[in-house]
Amino acid sequence: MNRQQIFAGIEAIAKKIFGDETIITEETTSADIEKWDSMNHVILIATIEKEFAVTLDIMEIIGIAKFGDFADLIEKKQNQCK
Amino acid sequence: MILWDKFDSSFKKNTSANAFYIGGRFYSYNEFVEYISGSQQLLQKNIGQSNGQTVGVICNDSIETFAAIFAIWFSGCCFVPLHPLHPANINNEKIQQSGLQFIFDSETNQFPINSQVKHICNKEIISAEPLTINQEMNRAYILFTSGSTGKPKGVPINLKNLTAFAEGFLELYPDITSEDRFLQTYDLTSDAAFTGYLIPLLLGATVFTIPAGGFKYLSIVKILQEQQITFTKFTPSILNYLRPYFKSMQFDSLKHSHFGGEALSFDLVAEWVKCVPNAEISNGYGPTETTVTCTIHRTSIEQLKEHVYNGIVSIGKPFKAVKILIVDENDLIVPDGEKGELCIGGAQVMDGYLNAMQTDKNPFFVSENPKEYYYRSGDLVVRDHEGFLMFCGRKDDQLKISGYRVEPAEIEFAVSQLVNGLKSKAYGFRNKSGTESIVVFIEKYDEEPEKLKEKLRTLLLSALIPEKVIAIRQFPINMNGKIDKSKLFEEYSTQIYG
Repeated sequence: MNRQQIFAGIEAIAKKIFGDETIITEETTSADIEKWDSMNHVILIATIEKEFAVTLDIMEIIGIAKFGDFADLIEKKQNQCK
Repeated sequence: MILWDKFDSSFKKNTSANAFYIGGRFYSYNEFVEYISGSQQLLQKNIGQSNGQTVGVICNDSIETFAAIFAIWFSGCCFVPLHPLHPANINNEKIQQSGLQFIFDSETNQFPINSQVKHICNKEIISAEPLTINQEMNRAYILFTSGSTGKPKGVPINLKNLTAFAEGFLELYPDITSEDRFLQTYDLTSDAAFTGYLIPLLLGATVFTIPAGGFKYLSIVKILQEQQITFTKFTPSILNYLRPYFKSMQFDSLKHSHFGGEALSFDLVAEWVKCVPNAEISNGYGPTETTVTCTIHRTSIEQLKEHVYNGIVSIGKPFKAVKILIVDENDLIVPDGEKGELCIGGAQVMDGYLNAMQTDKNPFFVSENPKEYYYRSGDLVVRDHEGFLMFCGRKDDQLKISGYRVEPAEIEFAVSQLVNGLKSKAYGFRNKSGTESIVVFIEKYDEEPEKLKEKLRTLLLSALIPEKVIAIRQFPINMNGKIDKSKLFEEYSTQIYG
C-alpha cells in the first residue's frame, strides 16, 4: 500500500467517524474538527489500528498532531513489517 | 497564623525552587511572588482596600492566572474561577450570581461576556513590592455546580473550610516534601484542582500544568514521561482512555497515584498499578460543598482489594475535621454494614448555597444532641466493620461525568429550549470504552440529532453534552405511570451502545 492509498484509507475512516461533509487534509488537526474529542480520538485510533493491522504505542500516538502524521506513521510501520 | 501566612512563608522559604512548570518553562517561587505582587498592586488600584470583595479570574493556563488567585486571597477577597471556553451564558450567570465587578484575565483579547464587568489584564505584570496578607477569615472562593433548575448553583467556601481541608490532607500525607512534583490535571473551575496546586505550594514543591488544547489523557502521559512526576490526581475516566495502552507505559518516578471525582473500579486500577510500580494508590471523595476531598482511602494495591464493594474501591475514612453520619430514608442513623445516605459535617462543610432562598430544599441534615449540620451528599454508602466507607451509587438521578456533577434536569432544560418543548430525558450510561457518558432521548423529534448536539454546545458545558441523542416515537411507561427506563434502554440498546 503506497502513501496515497494509506491516506485515502485514513480519510475514509475519519469521514465515517466525523461525518461525510468533514474536510480531511494532510494538515487537518483535532482543532479543526469539533467532533474530534477524546472519545472520538480513541475510536479513530482503534479503527485505524484495525483497518491497517498495526499496533500503535502510546508515545507514537502522542506524536500525532495531524492526519498526515497518521499516514507517515502507518507507512513507517508497514515498511518495518516488510 | 492563617492559611495565607503559611503560603507566604512557604514562598519565602523556597525562593529559588521551582513553583510552576507552565507552557514548557519553569517559574521559581521568587518569580511567582513577583507575579502575585504585580496582580495585588493592580487589584488594590482597582478596588482600594475593600477586602471581602468577590473577584473573578479567567482561568487560562498561565502563571498570571495562579498569581491572580493568590493576589485575591492575600488581599482578603473571594475568588470565582471562570473558564475561557465555557459558554457565555454560563459564565454570565456565574458573574451575575456572585455579583462580580472585576475579572482578572491574563489574555489581552477581551473575554466574551455581556456583563458590565471591568477586566483587569495582568499579562506579564510583576512587581517587587512586598505582599500584604489580610488576616480576616473571609470567604475564599465560590464554585458552581450543576443545578436542577438549569442554572448553576453557587457553593461558597470559607477560609475556615479550606484550612481544614489543607490540614486534613497534609496529615494523611506526611511523606510529601518540597522535592515532590505534582501534576495538576483538572480545570481550575473544579475544586479537585486545589489538590494539584494548593498542597504543593504549601510545601514548596513544584506544580506542573496540562497545556490547554489537545487531548488531556495524552498530555498527562507526555508530562508523566518527561518530567518525573511524583504525585498525580485525575479521574478514573482518564484511565479508561489510557487502558488500551497500559502495556506500553511505565512511570517509575510516580509515588502517589490519587483518584477522585468518580467511582474507581478495582479492575481498572489493578491493571494501572503495573504502569506505576513504585506508587501508592489513593481514592478520594468529596462533594464541592465539603471542600475538595473529605474522605480518602490511601493504601497499597494489596490492601486496596480488601475494601471493595461491587467492584468499586472504597472511598476510605473521613479527614480529621470531618464528621459523618449515614442515615436511612427516615433520617435514622443506620448501623455499620447497612446502606444509607452519607451526610457530612465538620469544619470542611459550606454554610449554605449562594443566594439560597428559604423555599429551596434544605441541603442539610440536622442532628440532635448535639445540634450539628451535616450536608446531605445524595450518595449512598455502606460502612464496613473497619470503618471504611463504600460508595454504592446515587440516591437520586444525578450523574458524575468526567468529575463533573451533572443534573439530568439541567440537560433536559437546555434540550427543551432547542426542540420546542418536546419531551426529553437524559440518562447516564457506560459507553464502549467503559466511561460514564450521557444519552438523551427525545420524543417525536424529527431533526438531525447531531445538529442538536452542536447547538447544545452553546448552552452547556462540554462535560454535559450528551454522547448520544436518540429520537424516539414514544417513551415506554411502567405500571406506575413513570418512564420505564429499563425498557427504554432495552429497546434502543443498539443505538445507545452501538
